[in-house]
Amino acid sequence: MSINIQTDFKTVGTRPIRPDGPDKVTGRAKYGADLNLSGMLYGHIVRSPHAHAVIKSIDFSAALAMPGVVATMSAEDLPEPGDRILPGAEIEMKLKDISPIIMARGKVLFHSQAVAAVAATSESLAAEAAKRVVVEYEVLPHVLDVHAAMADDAPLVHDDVFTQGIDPAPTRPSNLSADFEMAKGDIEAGFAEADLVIERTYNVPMCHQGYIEPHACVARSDENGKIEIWCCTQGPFMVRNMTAEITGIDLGKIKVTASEIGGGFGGKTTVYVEPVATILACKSGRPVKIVMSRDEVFRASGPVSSAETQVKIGAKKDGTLTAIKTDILMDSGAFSSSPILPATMFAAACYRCDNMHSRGREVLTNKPKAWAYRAPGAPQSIMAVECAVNELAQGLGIDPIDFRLLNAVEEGDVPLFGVPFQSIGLKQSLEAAKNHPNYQAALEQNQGRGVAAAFWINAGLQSSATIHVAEDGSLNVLTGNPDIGGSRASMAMLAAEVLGIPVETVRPSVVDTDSVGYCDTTGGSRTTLATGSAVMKAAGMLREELKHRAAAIWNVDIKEVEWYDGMAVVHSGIGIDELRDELRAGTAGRNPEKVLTMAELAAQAGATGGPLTASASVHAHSAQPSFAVNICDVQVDRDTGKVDILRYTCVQDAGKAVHPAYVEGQMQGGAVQGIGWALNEEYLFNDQGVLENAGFLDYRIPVASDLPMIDTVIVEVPNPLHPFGVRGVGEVPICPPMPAVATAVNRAAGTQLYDLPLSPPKLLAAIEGAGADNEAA
Amino acid sequence: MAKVIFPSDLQAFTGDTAEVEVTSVNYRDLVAELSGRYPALTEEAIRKHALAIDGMIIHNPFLEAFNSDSELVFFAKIAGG
Repeated sequence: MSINIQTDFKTVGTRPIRPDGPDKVTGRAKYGADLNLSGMLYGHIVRSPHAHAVIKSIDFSAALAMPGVVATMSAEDLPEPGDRILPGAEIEMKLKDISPIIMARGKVLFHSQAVAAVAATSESLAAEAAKRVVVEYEVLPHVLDVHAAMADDAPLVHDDVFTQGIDPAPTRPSNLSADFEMAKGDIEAGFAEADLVIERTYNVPMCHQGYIEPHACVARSDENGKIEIWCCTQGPFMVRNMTAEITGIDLGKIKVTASEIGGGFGGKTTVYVEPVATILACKSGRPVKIVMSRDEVFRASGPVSSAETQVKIGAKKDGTLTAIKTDILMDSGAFSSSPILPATMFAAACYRCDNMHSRGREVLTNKPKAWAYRAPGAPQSIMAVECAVNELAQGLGIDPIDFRLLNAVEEGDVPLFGVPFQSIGLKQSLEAAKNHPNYQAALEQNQGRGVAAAFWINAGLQSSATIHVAEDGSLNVLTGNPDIGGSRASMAMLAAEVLGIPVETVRPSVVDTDSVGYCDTTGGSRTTLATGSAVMKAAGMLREELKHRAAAIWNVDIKEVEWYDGMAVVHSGIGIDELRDELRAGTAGRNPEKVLTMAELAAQAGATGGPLTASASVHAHSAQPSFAVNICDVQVDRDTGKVDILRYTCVQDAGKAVHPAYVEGQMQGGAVQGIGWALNEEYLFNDQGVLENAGFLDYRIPVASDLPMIDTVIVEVPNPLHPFGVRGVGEVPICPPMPAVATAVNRAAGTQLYDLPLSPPKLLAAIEGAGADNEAA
Repeated sequence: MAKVIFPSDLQAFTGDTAEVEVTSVNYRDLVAELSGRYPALTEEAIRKHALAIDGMIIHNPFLEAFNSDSELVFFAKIAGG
């Protein structure tokens, strides 16, 4: 299926100043922790000191005896989740896999899991009261390693989890919660056909999304049972839904307002503190604020699954891929939630290959429940395949981009997940990378280059938008998607484009759940595409209404009215082309007998039918995938193991880039996060399951001084299903950096180290080991 | 007739059949036709999947129609970040 795609734009593709910029750089922007209400209490959460234990009792009496302590809560205040499926979620989620994260029920399954909470008149008092809550535990054996967790005698994280995906269905519970396989062709025949086969195992560590703003919220309940929640989130409607389900409060009584958001990257597509603050507010009758500390964020909010991936890949001498086999083992933490499916489905989605097999296994351990991070699951498995592809190309003496061009998918190819590709831009992205000056730059001693390609599926889902025309003809565009990557700008630009008006006359706002129709979360690279489609639909409806109003004013048939360059024009007596010539020449520009501007139509709205407003909702089916190609040049210090990024180049098929600067920002941000994951970021647990680096001093993310300018090239292969050709852009940028960096480092250091992160001590040991091997040889 | 392609997890309910032709031209009839043909393939199992109709992935295809020569691919619902 395809549609007519507009290619000539007035606003789309330009770079207007971001509407949220002044508030953010001056500090006026209000984030989750910035709201304070009269009479507000402060909540503090009591967390488990054990990785696995039975909660035998909770005694609040000492805490409640403290003056100023007003309310307490535990899982006893929440309804039993049973086997309920969370309604309205993007994927099937069991409430019993979410509710115990908010408050542990009967058992704790990871260190720092929430067990109880208190609300008091000050933060310090709440923290002190939390210490006086006495929780009696019976400590149980725990398991932290995925291989140990799959052993027959491993401690069971849950006694009611049975492995999904195997036939016959198992009768014994297991920590192996899912085991999926996908295949096409004859994998063994494919390897038999190959002239060179590479087989390796790659490890990507558990990490954190690393958003700068901790989770924070204020909840208030009134005498009518109405709940208001202000919080930093990627999805206020998701917060409303999850809070209702977890607390048992009617959804219709809850209103959620999203604050400005200081990063989410998938980590704020769930709730942690909102249901707790809500219950404490209901019990105390006063507003309650909870702000997670950085330590709590690291220990108890969604980390990202680690993955161990075995890859076996074969090709003929001419570079033709003959077989790709992947086997991915993913740590989901204490509850099923890892993105094992996309990891399994998309590991080798960049390649045309007749024989493919992919297995994915999800394992439960006594660690925090893993949660989404940009392109969930894909970076981990793509890391493995791309590193193997680089080694295969090198072994065959073929340039890595030429190798990929030879095997790259294009329109009509059918990937392992079965949905044929429509118009896509992988080959164009590879060509752009090959032609980039950075790919031609000479490398010196101890320097290396890595290349990687990547795929992400992108989402559509449900969105709504409302547009109001003010009396002066300017617009308010209201949506329910928090702006995490420039969506306010893109919403304004799309409305301006459809209506042909200056973008400066459009004011985009993110409003609360009572003030606009339902919107799925800001995530899945969906907002500009899906919420933007709702905005475009509303703007189109408004344009038609404006034409009707103009026809009424002129007392002509609607067929006589055109919408041109932000104005209604009547072409009675002359052809539209002639009228356009007049408009271009300015001779018709101020003639109200022929032309009515937005301002003129708005000024007469009262006389022509009342206020001008339009609302639209979509369930967008127009999402199409994105591809990215990265080139990384590094220098390795052989004495210390330190890696310096010399040059970094991101190429991405973004479809039509609505605001190119924001697209470049997404590409650069994804690259930096991927570089951090490759070189330094990892969760370090001790043998008791306690995270030992729960702070940015010990969990090292890249800072500006670590990096060169990240170069970007936007390739614009239009999405054939979107009227402007828009694709999602926010997730695929994090997929290629790890293999690009890892390959570059190994080339520079002369190592074969594929156990990320490639931190200085680990790399130094590998360099010294490689040197010893060479001497021995 | 429209062609249906099952992912691996649904093939467990179809006796390893990966591809089948159907007479249905809308989603509701498709679900009934498939669950009638493969009793183990319940409506619940089918509805856990999105459906790609001629390359267009539809998260909730409840009211969707398609052509008699369409290619239909069931597709595991996945979450973004």
